[in-house]
Amino acid sequence: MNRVKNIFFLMLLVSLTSFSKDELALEEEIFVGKSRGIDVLNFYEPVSEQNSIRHYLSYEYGSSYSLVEWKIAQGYIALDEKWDFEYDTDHEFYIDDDLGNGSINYNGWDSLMGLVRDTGNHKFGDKIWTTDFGLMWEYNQLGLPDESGGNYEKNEFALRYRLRTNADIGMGGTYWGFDFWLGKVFVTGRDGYSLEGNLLTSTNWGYGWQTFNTLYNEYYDYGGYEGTYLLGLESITRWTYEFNKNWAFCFETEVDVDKFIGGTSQDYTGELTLYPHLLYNREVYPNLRVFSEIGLPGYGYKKNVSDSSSSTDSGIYFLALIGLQYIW
Amino acid sequence: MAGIGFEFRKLFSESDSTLGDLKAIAYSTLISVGPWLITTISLNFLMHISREYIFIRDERVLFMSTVLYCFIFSQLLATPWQYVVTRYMSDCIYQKRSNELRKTYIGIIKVIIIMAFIIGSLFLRNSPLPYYYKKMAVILFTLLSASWIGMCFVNVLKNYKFVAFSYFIGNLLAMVLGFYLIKNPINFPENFLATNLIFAYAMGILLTFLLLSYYLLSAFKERGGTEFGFLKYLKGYSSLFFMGLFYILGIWVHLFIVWTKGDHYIIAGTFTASPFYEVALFYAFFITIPSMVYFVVFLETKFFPDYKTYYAHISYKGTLDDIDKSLATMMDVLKREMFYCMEMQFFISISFALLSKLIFENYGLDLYLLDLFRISLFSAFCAVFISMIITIFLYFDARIQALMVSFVFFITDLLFSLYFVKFGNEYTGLGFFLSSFITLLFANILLNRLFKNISYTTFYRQNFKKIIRSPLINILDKFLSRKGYLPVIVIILLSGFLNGCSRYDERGFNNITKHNWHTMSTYDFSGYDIQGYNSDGADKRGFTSLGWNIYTDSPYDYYSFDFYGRHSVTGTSFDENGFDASGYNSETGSVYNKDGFKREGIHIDTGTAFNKDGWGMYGVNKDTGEYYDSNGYNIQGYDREGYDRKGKDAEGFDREGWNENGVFKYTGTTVDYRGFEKDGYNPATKSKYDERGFDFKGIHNKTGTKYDLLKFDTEGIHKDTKTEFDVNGWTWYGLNSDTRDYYDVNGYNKEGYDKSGYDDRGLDSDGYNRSGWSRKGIFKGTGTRYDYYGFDVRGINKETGSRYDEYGWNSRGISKKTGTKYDSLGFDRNGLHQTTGKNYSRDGWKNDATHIVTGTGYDPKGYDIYGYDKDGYDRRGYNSSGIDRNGFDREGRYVGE
Repeated sequence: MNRVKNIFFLMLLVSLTSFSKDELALEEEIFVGKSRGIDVLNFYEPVSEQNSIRHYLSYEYGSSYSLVEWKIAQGYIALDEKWDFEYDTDHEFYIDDDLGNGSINYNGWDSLMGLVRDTGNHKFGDKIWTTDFGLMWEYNQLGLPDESGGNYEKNEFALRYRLRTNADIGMGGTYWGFDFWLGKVFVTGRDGYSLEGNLLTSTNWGYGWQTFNTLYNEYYDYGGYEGTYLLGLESITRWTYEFNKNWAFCFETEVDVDKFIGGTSQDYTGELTLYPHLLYNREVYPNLRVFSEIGLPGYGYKKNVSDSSSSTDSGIYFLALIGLQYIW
Repeated sequence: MAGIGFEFRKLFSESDSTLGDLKAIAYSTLISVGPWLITTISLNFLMHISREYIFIRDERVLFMSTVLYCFIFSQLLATPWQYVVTRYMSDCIYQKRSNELRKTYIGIIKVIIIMAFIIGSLFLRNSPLPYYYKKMAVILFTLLSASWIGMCFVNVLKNYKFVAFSYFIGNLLAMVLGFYLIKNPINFPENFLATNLIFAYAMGILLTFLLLSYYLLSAFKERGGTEFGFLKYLKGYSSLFFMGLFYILGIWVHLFIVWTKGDHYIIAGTFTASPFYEVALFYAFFITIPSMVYFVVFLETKFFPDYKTYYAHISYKGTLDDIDKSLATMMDVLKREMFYCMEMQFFISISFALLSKLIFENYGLDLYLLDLFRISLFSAFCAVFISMIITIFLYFDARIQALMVSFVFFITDLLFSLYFVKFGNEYTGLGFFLSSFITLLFANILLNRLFKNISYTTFYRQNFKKIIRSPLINILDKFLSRKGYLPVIVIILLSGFLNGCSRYDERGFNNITKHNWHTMSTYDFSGYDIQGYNSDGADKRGFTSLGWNIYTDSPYDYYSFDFYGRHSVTGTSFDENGFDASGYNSETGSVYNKDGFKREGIHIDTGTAFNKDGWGMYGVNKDTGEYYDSNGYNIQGYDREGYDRKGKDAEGFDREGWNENGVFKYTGTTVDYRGFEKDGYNPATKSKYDERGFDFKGIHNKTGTKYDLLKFDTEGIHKDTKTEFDVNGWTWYGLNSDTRDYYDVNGYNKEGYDKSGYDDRGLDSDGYNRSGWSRKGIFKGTGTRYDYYGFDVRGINKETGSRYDEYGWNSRGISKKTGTKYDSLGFDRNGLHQTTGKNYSRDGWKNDATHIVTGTGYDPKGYDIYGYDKDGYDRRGYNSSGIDRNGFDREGRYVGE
């Protein structure tokens, strides 16, 4: 394990050397900046600022659970005209009323950060693809109670390569692409690796309708998974209508289906969510804004099937979120 | 409550004086058309004061258009319900169910408000007007719709005075508030004047509505029945609903057609207006006020008593004879008064039609408006009487007839208006007139038929009791009564809120957030933001907001248009090919010119720089690379000389210069330069030859060649010299090449004569010398051997045979006595005096010794030409011997008599 860690550390150093070189070049060249944007009431607004940090707190309350997600930091920092530092870390508190007597608290961490280099535009086929390459570190710590598996921890060092290209369908702003992921996993129990090749689409249909699809293809072998192939589809469709500059209404549906093949007792999971909500956004200062979501009652349905069991859960839930974003 | 008929009768019976008559008429007018008049006055007041204080015409037009729309469409919404609810109320009162009226009023108001709010919100949903203006317009529309219903309820109770009072108070508030807000406007970001006015007016109508509602709720104190019981009548009395709907549509549908297909313009991207037609209609209906007033008075004072008598006989104790008599009386009154009403209104309308020209000329109004006004006068005349006949139908429960009339009115109005609108502005209003005229005739026929069987029909109907069963409406009634409509109202209000807050335009942009909800970003599908600029800050033509073109790095775009769309070469909004800055062609109104080329030179059919015949936009031929094809014709089909394959030029003239009508291109007349018509006829000479003898083709009639006898052709070119001068230096018409005159350096013309007409031998062209004699002794003037005085060439007088004539003159006019050209009295041989040059001397004597005044041989003083009187004495009293009358000579010596 240490050997692998060393390898990734070396790669990190190599990459740092790489952007250091570019940093020197900054003294001679004008830094134009990468194209950036922020999400305002589900609309993409391009901004000239190259750095962003988001911070929010959400609270979800269902018939048998409640979940608090504290997004400590999410965003990116431009290191130079090629390199970014991306980060996304949160701390979750999960209270499941159905487990045992009284509440059982999970409190876990979920982080993903890394150095990402813009590798430019490339022509594959008759399409122009924007690409980037990332050296990523993902950390999960579920903070389960001892009877449920203890303090499960997972570190994954990965190489990520992303491709995006525009599509002619929809009403503009539509794109699709691939995410490739090659990761070395250090996990409680058995270390292993993970290979991913995901197909993503983002389509604007017009009149406020958007669809986001991700087709997951993952092969992983670590922990309790012994050569498991996961085929999953996550599809989100939402409709947004702005009331005014600060308020919007959004109706969002999400379907998430995962099928496990081999190496695990899990068979498949399915999830359907209907989530109508109000969005709020206010620019406090030119670079600082506050945003919020107020969920009108949503509906969730979950099904989990394994070789030995099957469970379903459904019900109304509420969600509220409030946060800040600062760009500079 | 006292009936209005009673008050009318009292007023008119008391009106035995002019003042009393005026009072009765004013009261009747106030009762009948008061709300309309009050509304008109208040709107005109608001317009007038707004014109005084704020000079923004667009704002006033926007306000008036909004009010007009609110009025028209609120009537469209409310009128059908008014008929249904009126019937329901009447039945309630008749069936002693007056306790239901309160809830009925509340119910219908709810229905109307919900419908009006939805309709208004939907209509204005995509309007570019500010949301606050739209909200106020929707509120005004809703309040107006509700106030019509309120007015209808109060009218059923026959308290017309209160209706007029409510409208007066409401409109007074509108005027006062409007006046205040015009001087102290609320600072709305956009359309502030119109918004302030619409706000003031909405407040006035709100007050009217509240007054009407307060009165009704005070009058209807009992709280029985359900709120929506009247909805059942939509099934049993749907004819009333549709009758009202068709009639009100018939009144307005012609205007809608003019709005959409006729002469119209759009106001604030929302409202359509045809100001001329609207004004004409307004005044036309205004002039029908007398008949409306008269009809109301007639109904209440004359018709209604007979009507009650008739139905009393039918319903209670009348014999057949009583019934027939009362029917005859009622019919007689009805026909007589209707006819009188029509007669009076016709007289008024025709008077205005005739006087209108004077009025229009006096005020300098458009004559197009005059035509519209005149035809609208008679349309309004018919439409008003259609309404009256429908009212009569409803008095006798002849709902089918009323429905038929209103349907015919609507459908004919629709069809005629659609038909005539195609023929242009001159035919505007004709459809409405024909429709209303035909419908009036139709209504009159139905009215006559109705009265033939009215007694039988009335009796027959008494055998049936109308029971309306409508499970669906019952369910709806229960649902609405249980406040089930509240969520609906919440949704409606929410939709109104959404509508008011923001909207997405045709490009998908939100007017407030500037977001595009098609692309879910700040740019549209083409990459331009709401202001039309892309991420580089350039608009579609490449201009920045400062007017600099980033693609050409100049103030002009690729097509030489500047930021404001002005072409650098033409200085107008169009380039040399008729394309504007957006690429639209002025001639075709599309992005293609008449030849199918876009501004970029791409052809619509081939998608290349050449059309299917191989021609480029600027006329270059694909094969030859020139402006002419291999056959020598250009893109327009003309050869290098400008003639097409049929030998005609662009103006239709052939190569010889003639068109099909026989007009010569270069003279613009039916003859060419040489005076020939197309068929070779010369109208000047009335022959096939011109005055020089050349025919149409230039062949000379004498020589048979293209040269005349002097060897000049038709163009005046000499055969030998090849110039316009012959070998002697003369043109065909005698101009000399040296002197550039018609005489040569010796003073002779082409024919050899001098300016006096004599050649170098002193003879003229006829052989006479300057004295008029020919070589043969013939005098030119007389054609004989003697001149005018009878002398021959030798000077011998024909009469005397000597050299002197009988008066002593010789051939040269010398007097034998005096040896001069004058005789002793100073006259020449022609009788002209030496001194005067006339046929009399300075003393008035002629050469025959007669005086020009007296005509005798003596002058007015009695002396003859020699100075002697009749007695032979001169002015001094001496005779020719020098002796006076007494015998004395000039020395005073007596010499005897």
